Amino acid sequence: MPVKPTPLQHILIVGGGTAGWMTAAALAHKLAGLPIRISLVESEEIGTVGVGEATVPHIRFFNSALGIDEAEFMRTTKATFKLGIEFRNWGRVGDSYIHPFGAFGMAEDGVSFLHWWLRAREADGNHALEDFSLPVQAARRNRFGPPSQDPRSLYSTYSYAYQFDATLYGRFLRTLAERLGVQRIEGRIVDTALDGASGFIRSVTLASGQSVEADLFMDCSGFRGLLIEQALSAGYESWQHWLPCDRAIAMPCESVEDLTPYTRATALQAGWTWRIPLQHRVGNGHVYASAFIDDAAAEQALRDGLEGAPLAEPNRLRFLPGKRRRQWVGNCVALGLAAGFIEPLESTSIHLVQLAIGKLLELLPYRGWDPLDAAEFNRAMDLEYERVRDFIILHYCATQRDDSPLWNHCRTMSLPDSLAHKLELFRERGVVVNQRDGMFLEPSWIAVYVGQNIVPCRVDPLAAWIELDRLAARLADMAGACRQAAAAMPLHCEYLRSINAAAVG
Amino acid sequence: MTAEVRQPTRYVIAGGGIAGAMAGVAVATRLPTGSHSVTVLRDGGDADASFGPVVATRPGIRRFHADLGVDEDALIRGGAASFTLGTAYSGWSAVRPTYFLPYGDAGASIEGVPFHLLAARLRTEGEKVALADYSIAAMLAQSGRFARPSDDPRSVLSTFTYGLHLHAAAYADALFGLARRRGATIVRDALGSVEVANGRIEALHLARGERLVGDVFIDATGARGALAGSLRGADLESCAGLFPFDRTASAAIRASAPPAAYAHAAARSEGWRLTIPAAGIVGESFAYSSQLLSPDQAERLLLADCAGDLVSPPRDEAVKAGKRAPWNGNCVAIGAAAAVVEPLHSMPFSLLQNGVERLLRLLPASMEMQAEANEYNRATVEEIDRARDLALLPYRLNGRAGEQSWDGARQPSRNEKLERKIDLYRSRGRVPLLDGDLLDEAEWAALFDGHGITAARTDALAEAIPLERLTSQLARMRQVMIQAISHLPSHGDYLRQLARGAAAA
Ligand SMILES: Cc1cc2nc3c(=O)[nH]c(=O)nc-3n(C[C@H](O)[C@H](O)[C@H](O)COP(=O)(O)OP(=O)(O)OC[C@H]3O[C@@H](n4cnc5c(N)ncnc54)[C@H](O)[C@@H]3O)c2cc1C
Repeated sequence: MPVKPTPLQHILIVGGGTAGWMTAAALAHKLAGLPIRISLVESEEIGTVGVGEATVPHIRFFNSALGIDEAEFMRTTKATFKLGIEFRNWGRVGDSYIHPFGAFGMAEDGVSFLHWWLRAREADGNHALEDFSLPVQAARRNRFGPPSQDPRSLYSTYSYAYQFDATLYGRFLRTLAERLGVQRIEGRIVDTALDGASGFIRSVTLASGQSVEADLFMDCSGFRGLLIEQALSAGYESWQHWLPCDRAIAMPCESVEDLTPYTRATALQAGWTWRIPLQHRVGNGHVYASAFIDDAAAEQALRDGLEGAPLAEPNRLRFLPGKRRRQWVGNCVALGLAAGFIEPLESTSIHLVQLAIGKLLELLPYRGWDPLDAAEFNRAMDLEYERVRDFIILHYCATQRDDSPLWNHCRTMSLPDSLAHKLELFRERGVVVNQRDGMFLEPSWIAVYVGQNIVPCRVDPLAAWIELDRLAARLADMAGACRQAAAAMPLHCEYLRSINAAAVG
Repeated sequence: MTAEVRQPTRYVIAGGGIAGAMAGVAVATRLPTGSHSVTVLRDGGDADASFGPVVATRPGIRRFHADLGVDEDALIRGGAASFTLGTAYSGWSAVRPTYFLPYGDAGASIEGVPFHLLAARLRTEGEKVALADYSIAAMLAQSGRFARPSDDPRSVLSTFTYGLHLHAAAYADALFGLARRRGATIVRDALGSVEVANGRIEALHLARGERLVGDVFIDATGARGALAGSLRGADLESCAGLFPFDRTASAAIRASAPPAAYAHAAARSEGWRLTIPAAGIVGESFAYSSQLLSPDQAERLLLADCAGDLVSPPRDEAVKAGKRAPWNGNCVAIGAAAAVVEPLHSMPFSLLQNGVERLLRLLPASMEMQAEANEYNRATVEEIDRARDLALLPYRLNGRAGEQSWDGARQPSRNEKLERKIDLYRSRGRVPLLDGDLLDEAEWAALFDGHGITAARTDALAEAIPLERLTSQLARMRQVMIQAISHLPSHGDYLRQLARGAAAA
């Protein structure tokens, strides 16, 4: 007969950035029925990283599980809708493709759409793959509307995410978490006390001298990994060999261009810049490799690309791409930047926080601590991080650029075996390796492969039989339908206005 | 770009059993007939060598039939298949004399907490909760009723599914017929020798002198791996020592009553017995240890419990558990030719089906076919290994104390992945799923539960749900289920309706 575990009495979240407040809100909501106290320490003096504005669609499940009203959330966090990411200059200078939240075309007769497209391309090169993606067609027209629930509708073929002001989102979650009973403690942690026998964290001490004890510590302290690394020495696995970028400068500016329903990532000589449109401004940043460019030149490159007047001083950040060797050690679980960081190219960080929260809830420890919980958490999170890593590396290695040392390095570097296998299979046969875990599914891989000019050298033999005339006609119909459906959607800015009006009214 | 590459167009399949038949239908259905040829060597008298006369399949078979346009109703009317709702297990555990592993859901999650964890929580409160009481499939099996599931996701009758029990010879006949109608050439002869050059198969020489030349060879010859074994580097890697029983006696008995819609796996001191009822025939097999019984003794034990006439003389075979790299050169081994695993939980059939489906996804697009082989082998071997973990589980957890072969089988294995599943379930009722796993978490949990394993502690999230809410929701669930199935016909009536072509969908 199972016993009721003695529940934890006190969970302390260290850090009040996006990771900290997401964790606080989710735990407070999910554990409401249990006698567990949840507190969060943060230091205004230290502040948050201040970036992290683009998300992936899973965030909507996070929000809705917390009972968050979308319109209110959009208005409060000055959010916009996101259908995907436009990548400029990645394969070659001058290229542009969009990685959308949705698949290209539809499989038929056991053949993936990619291969129908490849086959048609052999005959005439008229259609780009993106002609068969409604979210790309909508994005290219700056249009947005909510997807349909009806699986027969073309409008059911995509999903969407948000672009929001990270500071405002943090505040929004803080209000929610405090309403759910989370106690916020202002103060800077200056010391961590470990239990001699177990090595577990007993308490943290604030600059004020106050000491806070807890059973479980959630390290959301950002890059420094205040508990997981500084106190518990979890160790860090660097992925810099494959991901040379190690610095970033962020700088918001006034928006001048139309309100795009997508994020843009533009590759430069020694890194890339992001452009994230919000309601009240545009978020910009330059992620670069310090080995290939100095800070001043990097800042200049960022400024040169701004579409409007800067709205703040540059926010300079340093990081090492990689992850903690163990994200859960003893009674401490690291989330967010404290757990690891893979650069923000595909907006994966906040999602990894969300995944870690979900895993932690599944494996919530009790007073008595079974090390199996930590082992399973670490296994699952390692796998997620590694699979995201491979997908991000793909953007760098799948390049034909030879105009700078960064791209020469990336084009020729050795790859993780797992990625080399995936690449070879796609190149040779146009098949995407599918696995149980990993957040990026087949359509995402296809978008980046094809977008960066990795075109399979062979067509599925099953696609070989179709009469090209018939196929061409079918594809033309599909592309036409996508175009029309996209044109019928409202403009992104108009749709936002209607949402905001609804939220106020 | 693709024009100069010579494509494999000639497919030769060797094997007269269901593996050869399934591969034949799959390839003949998908490949364009004008440009490709499919030849199946149907060697006689071998229809049930690796699977026994009656084969139990999991619900995945429905996908195979639907994708390839195999008419399930026709199979059932023709006596080649009948329905199955799962497997009853008896004698495996010391605390649970019998348990049922149903197809489809057992219960529903509440607040995202899996049902088996809710059940565990309720048990600590003194409630008697049997997982099978919340499974439509188990309830149907128990009450002798059957109807196909509902398509309406709001109906509780959409929460179960079914597999098929195949009359191997009749099923193979039906599929070979279909393959022929779809353009395959069926050659009835016996394999003489395999002509190999440069690590590839050039041709098969048949007993009557014919020479079958091909580009791709599919080895469906069962455990002997007649084609695969002729190539270097495709040796069988044995894992026979892992399992306590090394021989199987089998027989097919004529039956007149409508078949039960489930299989039965009964453990006894000398081994275990699997009973698979199908239309007009019941398959019986008995796995035993050659150290404890002679083949004669095993046959006597097998037949002692059989009521009815034998369809054919009983067979007795050594079971050589093992696996090989399935795709080697231009030869792809499927079914038992790739791996021999224990027939519990229908794993051999699932591996066969997945192997055929994977081949369709990776049909070689060039004569070199190395990229395809690499991925095929990676994914297939992973799946075989996970199927083997699963096969070990009932031995590892058996409760037959004081019986020689069973006592020995209870030792912790050196299989880390399996031990981790067992440990985590024992600790808190969770089961980590890995790439290649063929059962979902609920099914694993049902197996553990059936073996009388209870987790040491309940799940925190389950504890967070108010008790009254749980009990009332479960009571309502059960009531709705009882109501829903009370309208359904007996399995026999359903089959009769179907035979008249009148069964409601
Ligand atoms: C350049 C860049 C761009 C990014 N873009 C994206 C993006 O587009 N999408 C995305 O999903 N993610 C993005 N990320 C990642 C994202 O910003 C983070 O995952 C997210 O903000 C979570 O950060 P955090 O809460 O872990 O850390 P932080 O925001 O750094 O928060 C750390 C918290 O810990 C507190 N703290 C630290 N030390 C102490 C102490 N001694 N005592 C008390 N409190 C302390 C701080 O006060 C702060 O509250 C980006 C990251 C970078 C670097």
